[in-house]
Formats: sequence, C-alpha cells, structure tokens
Amino acid sequence: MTTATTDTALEIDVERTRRFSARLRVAFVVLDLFVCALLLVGIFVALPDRFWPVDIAGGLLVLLLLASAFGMSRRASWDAKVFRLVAFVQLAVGLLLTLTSIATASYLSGIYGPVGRGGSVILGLVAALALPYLVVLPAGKLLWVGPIVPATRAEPQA
Amino acid sequence: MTPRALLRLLAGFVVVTAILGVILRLTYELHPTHQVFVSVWSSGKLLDRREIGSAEQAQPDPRGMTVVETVTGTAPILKRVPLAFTFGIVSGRDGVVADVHGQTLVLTPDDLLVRGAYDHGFNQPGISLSYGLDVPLVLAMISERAHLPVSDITRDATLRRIRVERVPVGTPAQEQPHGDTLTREQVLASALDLAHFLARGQKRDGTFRYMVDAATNRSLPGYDWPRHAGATYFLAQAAAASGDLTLRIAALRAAGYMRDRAMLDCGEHRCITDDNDANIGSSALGIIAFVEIVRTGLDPSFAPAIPQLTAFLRSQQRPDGEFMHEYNRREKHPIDVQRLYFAGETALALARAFTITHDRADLDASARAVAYLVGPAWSFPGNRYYFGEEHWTCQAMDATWADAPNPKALDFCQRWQKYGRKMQFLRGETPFDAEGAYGVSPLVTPRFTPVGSRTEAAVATLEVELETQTSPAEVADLEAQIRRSLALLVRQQFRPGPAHLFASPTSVMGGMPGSSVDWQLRIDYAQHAGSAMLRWLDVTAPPTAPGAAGNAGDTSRTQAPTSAH
Repeated sequence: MTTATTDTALEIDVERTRRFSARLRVAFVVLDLFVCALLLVGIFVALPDRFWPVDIAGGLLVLLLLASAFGMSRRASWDAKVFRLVAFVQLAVGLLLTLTSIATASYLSGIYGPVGRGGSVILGLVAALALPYLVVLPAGKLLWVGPIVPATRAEPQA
Repeated sequence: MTPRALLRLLAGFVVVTAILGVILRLTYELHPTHQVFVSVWSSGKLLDRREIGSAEQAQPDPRGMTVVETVTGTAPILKRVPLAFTFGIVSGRDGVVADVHGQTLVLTPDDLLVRGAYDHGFNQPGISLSYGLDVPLVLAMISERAHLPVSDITRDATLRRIRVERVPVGTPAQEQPHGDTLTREQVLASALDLAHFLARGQKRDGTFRYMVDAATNRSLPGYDWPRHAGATYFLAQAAAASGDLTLRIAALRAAGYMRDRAMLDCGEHRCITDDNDANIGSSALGIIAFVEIVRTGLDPSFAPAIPQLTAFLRSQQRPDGEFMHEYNRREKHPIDVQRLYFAGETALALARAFTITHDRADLDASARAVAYLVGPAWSFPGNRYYFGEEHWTCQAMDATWADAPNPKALDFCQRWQKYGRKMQFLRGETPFDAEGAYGVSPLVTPRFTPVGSRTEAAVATLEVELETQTSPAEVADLEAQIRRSLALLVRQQFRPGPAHLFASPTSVMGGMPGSSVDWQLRIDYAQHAGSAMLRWLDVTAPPTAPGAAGNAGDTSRTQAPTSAH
C-alpha cells in the first residue's frame, strides 16, 4: 500500500517528468513572462485611466504568472499545481474579457444601433490582441499539463 | 484538462455568451411608444410643458417659442453600472424619464442640451475629448424637479431613456442638404452667415468674442492670437467674396489691431505677440490674413507689414526645414521647441507671402518646410497608416504648387485624404447627424472643427489634383468627400439652430458649434468651416461664370494675385 503523501508526490513527479522537458520548461517560462510584460504595458501604460477592478485583476494575474514562471524555472515541487491553477485563472480572465466585450457590444448596439465599422474594428482588435494570450495559450497549457491524476490510480501499482 | 473537458467548457461559454448578448440587445434597444409633449420656451428657459394627444393639437403659444416633442421609443437605463449609464443615452437624441415616489419626471433632449449634460461624462484632457452623459448633473436635474434629494433619486428612481423627435410649431421645416444635393448658393449663404456671426461678435478695438456659450450667450474666457488672425483671414475672404462693407470693416479692424497693437520687436525683426515668448503661429496666421487683405484689394496698406513678418519666420527656420517655434524677446534668441500646427501654418504663410513680396527666399523657405513636413517629420514604419492633423501642410502644398511643386507632398496629402475617407461617416452609420464628419466610433458625437479644417486641406488637394494627371475616379472620390463634409457644416450651423433654447438667438445666429451637443462657439470653429466653404466655391467655380458668387471669393492660389489685382 502507498500512503496518500507518497501518492501525491508520485503524482507530481510523474507529471513533472512526463510533461515538462527542459525545452518546454524554458518555453513556458518565456511565454508566461511575455504575457506578464504585455499585461503590465497594456494595463498600466496603454490604458489612459486607472480603474481598480481592471488594475487589481491584471496585477494579480501578473503575480500568478510570475509565480508559475518561477516554479517552472526552479523545478519546484509545486510547479505543476501552480502551472495548472494559473492556466485556469488565465483562461477564466480571457473568457471573462471576451464575455465582457461581447456583452458591451450587445448593450451598445441596443442603444446606438449597429456598432459601426470603427467600433467593430476596435472590438475586433481588442479580441485579436487578447485571445491568443488569454484564451488560446492557457487552453493549450491546460491540454498539455492534462488532468489531475487522482491518487487512487496509483494504488494498483503498489 | 482533457480535450473533451476543454471543448465542453468552450462550447458552454459560447452558448452563455450568445444568450447574454441577445438578452442585452433586446432589453436595451428602443421599444416603440408614442407620447407627445408641447413645450414653450422663452430666452432658453422652459416656461411650460404638457402632454397632448397628438402633434396636430399643438398651437403656437404667445409666451414664447413652441415645440412639439414626440417620444417615439423607450428603453430601460442600467442605472447601477455608472459606465453603462454614462453611455446608455444617445447624445442629443435621447432624454430621461424618472419614476420616483409616485412622480414621473421627463427630461427631454432639449432640457439636457440647455444644461450641457451631453458629452461631459468623461474628460480626456490630453486630447481635449469628452464624451458620455454627465450623470451627476442629470440626477441633480431630476432631483430639482422632484424636490427630492439626489440620494433618493439614486436609490429609488426607475430611469428610462426616451427617443424624442422635436418639431417647432409655426416654423416651416427647412430642407437639409446632403452631399449629393448641396448647392453653391447654400454654401455661400452659410459662409457669409458665419462671417457675420464673427463680425457681430467683434469689439470696438477689433478683437472678437473669443468663445461664446450659445445657450446663455455668455462670453467665455481666453484669447489666442493665431485664432484671431485666422478669423481675420476668413473675414477678408468673406468680404472679398460678398463685397459686404460690414465684413470688410470687420476684417480691417481685426487686422489693424494686429498690425498696430500686436506687432512687436522680436530681435531685429517684427513679430505678432503680446508676450515675452513669441510663437511663430501668430505671425504666420497674421501674414495669411494680411496677404488676403492685400491680394483681394481690401487695403493695400498692409503690404509693408508682410516682409517684416516673413523675415522673422525665415530667421526661425532650421537647416532641415523645420522651424524653431518660439522666440524669447527679452533674451533675443529662438527657442527650438515644436508646437502643434505652427510649422504647417508657417509654411503656408511664407508661400502666400511670396505672392506679395515676390521674394524668392519666402518661397524657398516654404518649399523646404513642406518637404520637411511630408518627409523627415513624418518618417516612421507605420506612417502610411497613421496621420496627424495636416490641414495647414496640405494648404501649403497647394500654395507652393505653382512655383515649387512637390509631388511627394501631393502624394502625402492624397494619402491623408484617403485615410480620412475611411474614417468619414456615411449616412446612417451613427445615431447622430454625422454624415460627412470624421470619427472612429459611433459612440462619440463628432466634432465639427476637424470637419472644417480637413475640408480646407481637401479643397487644397483637390485644386492641385485638378491641375495634374490625377485619375478622375480619385478626383470624384475627393469631391464627394468634400461635399459630404460641407453639407454637414451647412446643416449643423446655427441658422438659426434650436433658437428656442438660446438666451439670445440673434447673437448666435450663424455660429458654428463645436458639435451637435457642444454649443460653445469659438472663433476658429467659424474660420475653418467658412474658409473651407469659400475655398471650395473658388476652386470648383464653373469657368464659364466669371464674377459669379463663388469666383468672388477667389482666394489664396499663389498665381492668383495677377487675376485678383
């Protein structure tokens, strides 16, 4: 029999060895840092005004991505868990942003009629800029890291 | 996460998003309704408003000006989300109805226009842009009428927006021009009304009421020499086009004030300023005004001032063609800083001055400035996809064309106009009357000043296109673009505008507002619109009709003096 602690450690170890080759680790670290930089510039430089919900959510996401990148680069024991958690959060933020953009467009089109060429271009650009980093990338990360392996699956090997 | 789980998540997201989008759209779009109010206004103040059965029942009221306001649609307002509330009203077209503590209070667009509630929700100081409903003001207005504290309105009121169509009673409806129906007579009449508006606002010393709040007829603070000179230039154009003595006197009085009171020493030269730090823009536009006055024969005595000022401008030019835009008079040295518009204004001034001074140095300096402005000054990887405000540059391109043609500058101006066409609103693209205006979003009420200034540049570009091998299709596109913009300016000018909302309709008659909901009337708003109109009449004048109204405004071509004198 294997204890729960051993199961968890084994689970993490299996994941780490199976999922993260050295090259992939570097790639994920670079991508996470790149998204961090984009968020920092996009939110704290490009946006013309400070709006606390966006600033705090963006700031937290930056911290999480930094933690993920740190864990991956240091081969920390918790790297896979944090990697998965951050990917989930990143995806949630991306989907929320998409939902908000579409809801805003719907609301404004109810009031102003068709959003028009200019509005469509702006909303399209926002979506095009955000989707690769906040939807496609975290979805790919989640697919790559795979589901959490339940501890019970390790028992037959014992 | 397994691929299957991710797919499920994304599919669920798409379904939820689609449903939410449809619900929001259907909830907040206007739902047809029919309610008619008759309102009586006097000197911009609401005297009476009551609901009537139909518009036909409305009768003129002797107490003031009567208007019928028909509510054609209604929709809820998302009051609890401030940003949604701010953008939840279409500026100039929607009003607000509040149901609170058993009372129903109606604020029609007229009520909100008079108080300046539209487009004051957010201010973007860097680009002088404001947009959205001024929600605190609207809540305060409801509070005043309900005799309840604002906190009660915020907490308890149910708010709806209403779409209102307003028709004055007893005033025949005027046909509004569009690009395809615009006539030369409409444009000339509009331009002359703009000029008379400026002339009426002129003080004895020759200065103008710089900015006027149309609703209250209050003069707002501030003054600006380049804009004074610009207004003078336009008055000279209008005086020449019409032969109107009032306009001629106004132009000469404004020009005289500049020459006699504001031309000071800038080192060994003369410049127009009232400060220690003189900017080149004031002198440049002063020259443009003086040239127009001399060229059109209004008063040749202004000719000697022109070379004095051009010498100053030339002394400010750097070897690369750019100018040092300021001059420290006390310390007697140029200050190498650059300000918006001044380089283009100076290039145009030197080119126009050449027609009077015949000094090749003026033309050469202008040509070098134009080459710099369309070359090194706008040289970066994305420069074909983004432009600044180049209305003076392109007029300078036109003014130098006869003696120092610069095909690169023509190409630059043509590309800028094409870029503008992409951003020009067509009919039905916004909920506002914005056909012919420039903008990137149908949510922001378009400003009319860029319409006027870009049209000045478009007319200048058209003039050169007509002389070169430009394809007929391109010329036709530019002409249509210009006509759309001019028609918008004619439609939106206060002739008389919603006179029932003005404290003094006669004082603001002919004025050009900042936008359909910004009723500040600044002198350069009239200048840009009016100059564009008169230049268009001149450039497109039928060759078989010399001396016709448009030709009378024969303005500003470098070869023009021979025909003008």
